[in-house]
Amino acid sequence: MVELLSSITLWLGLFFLAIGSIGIIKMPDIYCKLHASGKCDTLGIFLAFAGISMQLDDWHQVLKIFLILVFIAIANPTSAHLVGRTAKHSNIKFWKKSK
Amino acid sequence: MLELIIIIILAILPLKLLTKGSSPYERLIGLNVFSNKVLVLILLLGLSYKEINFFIDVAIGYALLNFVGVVVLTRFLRMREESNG
Repeated sequence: MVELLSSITLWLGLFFLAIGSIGIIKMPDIYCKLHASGKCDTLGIFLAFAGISMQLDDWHQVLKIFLILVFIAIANPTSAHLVGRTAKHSNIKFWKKSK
Repeated sequence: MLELIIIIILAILPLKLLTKGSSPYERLIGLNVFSNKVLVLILLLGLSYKEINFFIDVAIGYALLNFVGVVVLTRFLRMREESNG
């Protein structure tokens, strides 16, 4: 039962990581690319690490993985915000849909 | 084993943006996404080696280094813009 739940969570995380990785190539603008990288990667890493930590038996390792997750939940949106703010500051234009 | 191959393919995809991006900011996004994929790859490798203790410590260092790298590079780009006027 735990094996099945862990496998489902891991594959769901890989699915979100795939969406982030494809979206970063297909999106037209730097701000749209920030949208793909900031949201999908964070959720994908959360699900993938949760699936990995279900297969461990020592609670020290689970605690360390949880600490990595807490750090990523703070750091990943912060770095996306930093890149977006710096790009806005250096006058990179927004993408407008061509008619 | 299949998830290792898939995550390696997903880590190769942002390298296109990292090498051929139109602006430094796009390359920075490519670097960030590549590092996130490698973070998952490290833990999957540790799970397949059945020796995940050391790999978790490597993953902690990699996540910290990724965030510090993005902060320093954006600070550097902003200082360069301001000095150019």
